[in-house]
Amino acid sequence: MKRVLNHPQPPKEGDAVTTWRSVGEKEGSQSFRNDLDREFPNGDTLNEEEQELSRRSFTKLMGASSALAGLTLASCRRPESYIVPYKKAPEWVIPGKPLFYASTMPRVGGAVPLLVTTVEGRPRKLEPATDHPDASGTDALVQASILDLYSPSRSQDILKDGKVSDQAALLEGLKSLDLSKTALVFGSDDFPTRNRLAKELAGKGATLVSYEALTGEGLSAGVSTVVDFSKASRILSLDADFLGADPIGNSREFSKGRMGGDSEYNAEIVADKMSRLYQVETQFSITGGMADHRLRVAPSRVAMVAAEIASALGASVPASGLDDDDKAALFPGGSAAEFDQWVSECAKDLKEAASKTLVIVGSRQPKAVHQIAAAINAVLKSQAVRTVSTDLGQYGTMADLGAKVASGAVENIVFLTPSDPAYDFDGFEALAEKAKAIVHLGIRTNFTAWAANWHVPARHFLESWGDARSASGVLSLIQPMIFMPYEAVSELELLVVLNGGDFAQGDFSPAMGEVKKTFAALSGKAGDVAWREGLKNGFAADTAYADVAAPAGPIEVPKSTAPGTDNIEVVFSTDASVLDGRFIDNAWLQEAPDPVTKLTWDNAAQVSPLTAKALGIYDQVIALEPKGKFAFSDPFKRAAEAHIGEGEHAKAPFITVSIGDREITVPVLIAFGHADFAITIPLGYGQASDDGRKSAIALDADQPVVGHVGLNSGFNAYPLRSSDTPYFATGAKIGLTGNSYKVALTQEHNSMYGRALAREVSTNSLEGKGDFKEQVKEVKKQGLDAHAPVNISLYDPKGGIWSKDDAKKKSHISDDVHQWGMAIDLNTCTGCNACLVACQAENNIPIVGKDQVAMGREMHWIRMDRYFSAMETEVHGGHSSDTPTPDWVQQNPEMVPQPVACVQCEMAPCETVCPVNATVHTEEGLNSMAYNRCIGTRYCANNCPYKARRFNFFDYNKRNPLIKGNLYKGPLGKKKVGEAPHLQHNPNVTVRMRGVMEKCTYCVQRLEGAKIKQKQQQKQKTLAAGLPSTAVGVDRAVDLRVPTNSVKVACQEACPTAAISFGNLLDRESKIVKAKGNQLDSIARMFDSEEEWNNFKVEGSGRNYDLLNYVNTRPRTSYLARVKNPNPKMPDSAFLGQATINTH
Amino acid sequence: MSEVATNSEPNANAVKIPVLEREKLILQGRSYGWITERICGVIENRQPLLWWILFIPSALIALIGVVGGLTYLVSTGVGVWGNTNRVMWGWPIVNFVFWIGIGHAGTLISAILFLTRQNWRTSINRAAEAMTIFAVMCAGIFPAFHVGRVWMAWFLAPIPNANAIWQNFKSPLLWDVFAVSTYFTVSLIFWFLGMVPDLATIRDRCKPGLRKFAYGIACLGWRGGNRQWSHYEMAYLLLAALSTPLVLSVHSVVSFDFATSVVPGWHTTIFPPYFVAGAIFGGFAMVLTIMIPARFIYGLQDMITMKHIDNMAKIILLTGTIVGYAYLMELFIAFYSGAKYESAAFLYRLSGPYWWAYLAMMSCNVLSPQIFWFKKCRENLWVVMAVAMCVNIGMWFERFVIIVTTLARMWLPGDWKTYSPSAVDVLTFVGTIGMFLALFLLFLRFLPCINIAEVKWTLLESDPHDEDKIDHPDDGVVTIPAYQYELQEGSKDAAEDAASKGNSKTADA
Repeated sequence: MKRVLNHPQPPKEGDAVTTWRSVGEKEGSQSFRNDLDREFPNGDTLNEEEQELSRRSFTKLMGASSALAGLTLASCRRPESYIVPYKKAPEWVIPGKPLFYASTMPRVGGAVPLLVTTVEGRPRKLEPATDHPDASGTDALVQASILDLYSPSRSQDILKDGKVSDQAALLEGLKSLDLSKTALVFGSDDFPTRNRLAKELAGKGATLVSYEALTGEGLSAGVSTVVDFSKASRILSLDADFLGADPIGNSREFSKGRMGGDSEYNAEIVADKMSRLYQVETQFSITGGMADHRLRVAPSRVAMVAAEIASALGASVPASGLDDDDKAALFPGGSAAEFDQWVSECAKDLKEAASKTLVIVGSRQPKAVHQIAAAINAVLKSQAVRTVSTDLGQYGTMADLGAKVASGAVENIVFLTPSDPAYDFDGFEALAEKAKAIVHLGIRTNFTAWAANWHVPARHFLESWGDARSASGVLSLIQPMIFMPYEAVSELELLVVLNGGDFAQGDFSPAMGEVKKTFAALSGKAGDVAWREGLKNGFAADTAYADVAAPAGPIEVPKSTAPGTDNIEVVFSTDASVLDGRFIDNAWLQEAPDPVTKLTWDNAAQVSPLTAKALGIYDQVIALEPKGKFAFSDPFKRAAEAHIGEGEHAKAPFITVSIGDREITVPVLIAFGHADFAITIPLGYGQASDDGRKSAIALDADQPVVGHVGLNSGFNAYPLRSSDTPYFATGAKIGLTGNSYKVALTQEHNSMYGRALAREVSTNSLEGKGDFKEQVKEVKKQGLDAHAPVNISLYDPKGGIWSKDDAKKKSHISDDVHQWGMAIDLNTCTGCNACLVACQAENNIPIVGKDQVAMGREMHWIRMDRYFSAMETEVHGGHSSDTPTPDWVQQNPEMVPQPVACVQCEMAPCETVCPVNATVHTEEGLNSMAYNRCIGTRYCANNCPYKARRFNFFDYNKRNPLIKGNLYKGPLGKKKVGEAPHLQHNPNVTVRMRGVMEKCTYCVQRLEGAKIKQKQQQKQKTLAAGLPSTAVGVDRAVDLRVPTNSVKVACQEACPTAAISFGNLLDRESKIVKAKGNQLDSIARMFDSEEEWNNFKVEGSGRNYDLLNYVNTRPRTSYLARVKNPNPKMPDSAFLGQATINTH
Repeated sequence: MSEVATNSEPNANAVKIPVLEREKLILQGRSYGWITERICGVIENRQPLLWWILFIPSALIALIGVVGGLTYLVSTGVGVWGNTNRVMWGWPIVNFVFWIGIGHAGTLISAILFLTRQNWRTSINRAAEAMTIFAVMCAGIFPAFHVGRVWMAWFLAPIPNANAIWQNFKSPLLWDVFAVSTYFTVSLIFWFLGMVPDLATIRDRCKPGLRKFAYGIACLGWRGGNRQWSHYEMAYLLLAALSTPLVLSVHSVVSFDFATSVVPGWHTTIFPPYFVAGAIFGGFAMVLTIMIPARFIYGLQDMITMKHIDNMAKIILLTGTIVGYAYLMELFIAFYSGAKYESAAFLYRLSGPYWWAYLAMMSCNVLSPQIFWFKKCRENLWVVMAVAMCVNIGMWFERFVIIVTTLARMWLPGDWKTYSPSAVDVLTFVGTIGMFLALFLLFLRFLPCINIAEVKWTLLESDPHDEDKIDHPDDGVVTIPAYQYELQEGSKDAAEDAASKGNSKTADA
């Protein structure tokens, strides 16, 4: 197809462009425009949204190059969609070669330091910065945030009262605001330059407020805690999902603690050095999944349990107020004694660890819990936590703002917060009524944007100057990578304007000067050299927060009545996909399954099975597979299954949840491990619907708040939430409706069905299984692998039927420089989806929409399996008995995630069955896919035991899957014309058309890039020596081998807990060899003598095992068993860490 | 006659050996002329109203389902079918295996029964072969169009190309391509070759014109000379010998698609014989399904007799029992292997989400044919027809169970998800049924549906010594008349029929 190179818009009057093609153009006369239209049909007449931007036209439009290139007629032709060299190349840009810049993503709880990959001026992928003091991985939200930059529903125009306006008018409007009667509502992230500018504005009388919908008050404003997991060996987490939605501390350090301090696999884990995590929470979080001991409590009881533990540790806190009935209720089928044992043994364990104890609290818990935690940390003199002062103390709350608006002290409000107060703040109407002028700065035209007098499109953080504090307070710089051609303004620019400045004139944004000023002040290094160095690194060293004494104050433990069927407690939870609702239009996040419920594209309430039974909704939710309907009953022991129909028939029943006169209707799912008599409802959904659903805001087509992505996505739970009970509420009632709602789950079976898939061992000695060391030795023999005979192949492994000389026979996997392999450590994998989204970003994986996901057609190359496992009967000597375990054990299962992508089998079942040789093995051990050769018989995917292959059933990349029924319209369907997301595509990865199979490639583009780079270095060495290339010998293993651990695949790079190891199995020093060893037949065959091989081979961790070893596929990706580290004195310790160890 | 009796006087008192007379394959003592007249009459007379009632909807359904459905599929994507990333092969491959199975009876009847000198095949082989051809055509549609990029399907052909990529000869799917295409080609030639003398007969009966010209071209200048007959018979024999292994190989190869995989529930060595037995089973059921109405419509009861139906019912009973044995053996081996994944796969067939499909398969394929142990049931055409329909349905469900149930419950519970067909799936399948029927009706309309030449060989007159036998009957035997079910029934109709056509020769016998 021919692509149209659209001629750039003629410059607007006043723009700093000095060349014209004619007088007519300069004057912009109608006759000139007519000429132009004739000359360039479809060219100049389309506006920006309608143009299908090609890479070339886009880069030409963008940045300095378009100014340099000028508007010469010579270049105005209709080019084919070929890659065309630049006429004048922008500096540094080599087509196809990425450039990397340090930047930062601001967010509450600590900005995320990043390394941004840009290709030809387009930021394409976010990687975690490695040399930053707070370097960790990136989570799914960070990975997906790049998509917002290119989002087609991004706000692009300045709006005045809902009508398109321009910058000049805005400037006037802003200048006319009376600062002394103006309030500025910021987000809650720590942004030094903003703090400084805000302070200057406050000096001129402005009121400062910070607001984010789902950020709690913490200890007190201006005081924050910084945790250091490397110094913590016993962690008590009070409703803190610190690995997930509520990031606290550094996940990498936490995972190091789970590895006994050695995350490089130099030795087997030593049980004594492993950290132990106690989790007290309501709904299962991914942090709860990592916990050794998990206590399910209703949200109001967290404070009480905390008080119990604190008093057991001798901290001076008021009595918890829990009586024996309350305690017994937390252990259904048990008694208060179990609770007391839980608390006292937990306290003892914390006390023993003394200063290595860390108590952390979820940011959304009330102040009392933070105080109790601080008290425990103080009593135990915890080294792992610091109290620090931030600059956030200068901001007031929305309550303050409400009072000032009511009194008339504030007349104008400028909303700069990334939240959407008109949608998520229940006092917004009162504010809007009184306020004279509301200005909104935001990246989307959300509800606040339409409610405001002025809406200003915000710049994405990838296109603005700024700075932010990371978790420990290190000043991290934000620099622009791109300049999308929208009328957008950054927060700092807006503040500069309010402060009397002007919008960007000329080359540089005024924001840069301000950031530079802050940088000089905070780092103490002025001057361009330090600045450039700072930009290169992305941060300024030695700028961490200063310690401060924890604010003292009386602790008041909030009391609550015991939850029951008439007093259900509601948790308003932060959603893993949309956060507080701001990511509703991010398709990657919407399609990423919730880490716990596996729900995509929607939100649903969660209740525990016991509660569901008590409320009479259990039968509606659970329809077990027709057990024993015919001839045989199912003999397999399995954990309870929440079965709501499968595939496109999966339906969750609707319930009504009411608190007082507030009521919403939501679908409900059974959530294992959820606290009883509590219900969790994720917020942020239901922002726009056009299908008449209840509990969602109807779409206003004239004032759209979402694009195709967020439309008809979920149910709005904000109406149930008031600012008095922002994070949980008591006294809710649940009603039945009799209706149900179609849900798209990526995983519908929650149990391993007696198969040792995600394996687990315990540091406790288990009867019949020995101690920890014994258990580790036997990891490879769990499940069916204990009985299956050794896999042997009848075929000559070297396969060389053409050579009669045995020595010359070669295995098909014969490269002696690189043999790639991967290991996924289930001990540190939290199941957070970061890898899944990173893979999507790296490999141009399309999204497919809710209906396709429901059918089972999602395209993610990594499938995040998640299994629940609870002991249903007691096990004696490795054999299950008939004695059932108590209810509180069965109702509190373990959760084990298991990411499954293509495991690159050496004996790949997919390869033998492809009739056209489209999937073949490379000499480096990759199972490669030739898209051009694939005709789509799908036989490979059927024969894949891991079901890791994905088929393009439709042209997902070309046709918009989010318009209802669009995929089914074939050539008549709407194309993604004018939508920018394809600008994010990786140019080194083929965009697959419909009808071909795809799957994980081990990021082969990265491997090849690394190999090419390595080869180039040899060439340069030769050149430097002044020798012809033939004169220099090459030692393949030394000169051509990619340096140890230097090449990283996308999932590995993103993983916040470093659970994924990848590398060259022929490199004995690499992490992958230490993790999984290299004792593969394919590698052994490369050695001529037994002795050489014996000297070379490395055993690796005993926890390493192959998934489905029984099939003899010899996968290159293996898994390392999870280690549970229960406290042997806890009441539940006998039932933990045994998800798979007793299966046969 | 009395003279003959005198000649045999000396042995009059000897003990006579009872001999069961052979059942007659052509009843009512029909003559050559009657046979030619009756079979050609199907083509030459006006088609009955029923033909049009059947043909028009069939053709329409074929047009909408096959032409329309496939156009939509190719223009839009395989996603219009119900296949998912879990169940990558759904209805399309179920339908493929179903149709290819049906395509087995024809060549089996023609080739294997020919080689084993089963003369009863002559009345049904032509129609059965036609059914084979049409069924394979229906079958071929599915694998060809289920691929994601049908315009690239030529990659399957070993055509030398510039990028020097050859096919993967390890893939059973490629074997399938060769097996099915070979089977189709040989079956087509075999069918056509057998038809040449009959086409000549029709040509000779035509008035000059387009019709005569067309049949003249089609019969390749057949004159009926001795040399031609001699060559013809040799060619027919050779093709029969060539077809025979193909009958066994095609469905064995189809079964390899499953048997060579690593999927629990597919990976079993019993598949090839089990599939072949199943194919013959299903094929004969389809022959019955089509022939029973056809013989009524066209009054062919004297040529397609109850003996034929009885024989086919017995084959259904035999192959149905073999299939049942295979089902039970699969279950036993799954249990006996001790392999968890294997036994789980079969337990999910029994008690998983598709238990009803398994139940349908078991009852239709294993239980329903057992009724054929009773002669009364084999003689009641309503029962035979009902069982044949059961088998058709059951065999479709067998493929559904094998493909869908297995793929929906593979190794990792994390990827388990059931499958439902889409409307386009159903439409296309119904379309192929329409196409099959339409093609068969066209066959009845334009081609001789019974092998005129061969069916005459089974008449007594074809025996060169027939008259001697009449002249010199064997005195040492007592001939016991064969059980001829139809002798009473139908004779009146047939006689009236014949009389109405004013053909006096019918009374000759």
